[in-house]
Amino acid sequence: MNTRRAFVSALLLSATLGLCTRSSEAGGDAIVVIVNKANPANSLSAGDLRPIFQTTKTSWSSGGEATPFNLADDNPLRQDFDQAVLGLDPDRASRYWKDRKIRGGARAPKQLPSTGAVLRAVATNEGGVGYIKASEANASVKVVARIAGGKVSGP
Amino acid sequence: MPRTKTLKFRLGLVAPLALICALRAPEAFAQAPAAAPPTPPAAATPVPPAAATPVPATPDAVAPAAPTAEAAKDLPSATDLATLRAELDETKKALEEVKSQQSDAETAATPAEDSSSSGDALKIYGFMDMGVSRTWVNKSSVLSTIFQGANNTTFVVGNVNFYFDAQPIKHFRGLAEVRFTNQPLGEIVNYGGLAGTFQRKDSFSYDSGGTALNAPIWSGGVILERAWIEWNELQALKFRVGNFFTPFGIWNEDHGTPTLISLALPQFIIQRQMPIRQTGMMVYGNAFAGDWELGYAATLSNGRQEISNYNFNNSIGLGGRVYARRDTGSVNTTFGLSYFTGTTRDKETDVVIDPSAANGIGFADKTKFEYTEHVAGADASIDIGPTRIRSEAVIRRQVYKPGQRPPGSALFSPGSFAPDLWQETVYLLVAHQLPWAGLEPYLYAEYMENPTIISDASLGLSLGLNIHFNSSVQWKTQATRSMFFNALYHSPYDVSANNVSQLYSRLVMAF
Repeated sequence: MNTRRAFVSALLLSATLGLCTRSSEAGGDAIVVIVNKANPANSLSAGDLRPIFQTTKTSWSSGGEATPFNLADDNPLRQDFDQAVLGLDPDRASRYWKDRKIRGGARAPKQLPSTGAVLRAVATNEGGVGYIKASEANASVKVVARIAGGKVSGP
Repeated sequence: MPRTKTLKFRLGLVAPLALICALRAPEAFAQAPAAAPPTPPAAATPVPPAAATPVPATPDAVAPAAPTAEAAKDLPSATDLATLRAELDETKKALEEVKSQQSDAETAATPAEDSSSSGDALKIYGFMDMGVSRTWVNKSSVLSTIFQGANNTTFVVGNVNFYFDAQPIKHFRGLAEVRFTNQPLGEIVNYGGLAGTFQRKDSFSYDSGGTALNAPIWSGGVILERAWIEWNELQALKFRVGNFFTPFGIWNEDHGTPTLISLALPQFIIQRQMPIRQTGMMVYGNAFAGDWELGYAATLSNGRQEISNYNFNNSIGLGGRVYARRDTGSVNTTFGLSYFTGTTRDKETDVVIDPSAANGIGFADKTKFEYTEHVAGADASIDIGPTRIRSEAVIRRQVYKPGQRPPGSALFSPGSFAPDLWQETVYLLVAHQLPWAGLEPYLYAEYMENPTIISDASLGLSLGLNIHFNSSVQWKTQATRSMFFNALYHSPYDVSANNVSQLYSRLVMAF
């Protein structure tokens, strides 16, 4: 019985660990870029998103302040987004922002702890823009772009 | 910080889950039919850890070479696995619930209005570099004696720079960058011989706060690299006031060792062909035209303040920069034009006999020197994937006002006066990051025409290697050969005797 219990415990523990590991990856789900429902933009390209997430463009073409929300550096969604939109892998993205700080340039977008927080922030902030898993999008925000296979496409 | 958080999060979940698992395992077995036959998957399952680990000899712990009916009974049946799967699903659901609750809690704790929220009111970051320098100069060259570091190997504390970046309210930001140094300990205060008594700067003192009466300390200087406050609500019109780096070209704004590709600064920065920093005000902003970002900066300042923080002539320095940038993600190109003009004056205040003064003694100012300068620059910066190319060209004209020239060098040209100047510089730097080990070799060449006591032209050729251990830490090494010659005027002296070879190496960390 001891053998059996130990084996099952080990099996469940490794399954749990595996679950935790998988839960921190994008898991193949497409990423969608979301804006506030009041934003008149219906579709945004990588070229539109890049300067906003580099904080070199701080207002929308239609007027109003653009407020980008990022996930943490080590979040797989963030890494996929940076690669597709900024053309930067995690290491280069990290260097990009460190260089920006040393130059004394504009601050990086605010980082939020989860996609749920991004969803909420974009839904409640008129100039907000962020990215979440496609499966997490709901009617509180507007999807303006989709990222899959490293490419940005229309919603 | 996020990694630590994730790790804590995982450990925090795994521990209770493992505990739940250990407690629930007997339940699962109790629910399984006692006579469930062994199934092929169970037989194919690796030997349970308990059997592989030496344990006290009990009948249960002895693992036979082939599965026996007793051992097979110990292996989980299909029903067991189904139960486990159901438990796993339950655990997964519970985990998602915990994650969701954690996310809600974090969202509630994190104001999400914008990046100027109070949560980001003050950020402290910076960079440091430490290493070693070695310079080789011909011993017959004047450079070998006037520069204390020549022909010696010196370990150095390079930059220790801290940034205090405050954004207490939306659209207002303040940035102060300070550098901690152990300067000017050991610098020459006065040459000996014909110049008088040799004297070296000594910053020694007894530590008044120490626990011993004779505890020595050597103090160092703190340099205010920049300090400004800005209003940045509008993308096209931002306003900055204080002490800021002159927006001129690439190098002056890249500024820090982690950001700059080359370890050694170009001579036009070292010789301050334009003011490195100014105190005054700056407006700047940008706009987008298609894929191109068009930006500008215009400055109004005291001009050069290398002599004093005071402005001695009510004259202001004017400058500006315009640039066009296109960043496609894989290719980032920037072209810029910069300009600065200003008048610099130094004055001397003398005590004089003044019959009109109350006690017959008064003060009088006289100009020591005064000149006007015009500096123009063009720059190009191109990043193509792992290849980085930088180039700048600077031209400077300095004209003294009539009768306001300072004396020339008392040692090398006694009795002369400083001439008007043309100075030109151009450099090209090409770096390429290799796909392995973070290696980034680079080539760097700089040509300068600048009349000095040594020569009127110089060429610097460098070979360097940056090793990027990660996004925060680099090891930078550069070898440079600087050659002097006279391109404009004939000199009876062999100026090549002043050629210098240098080797620098620094471990650099951004934080």
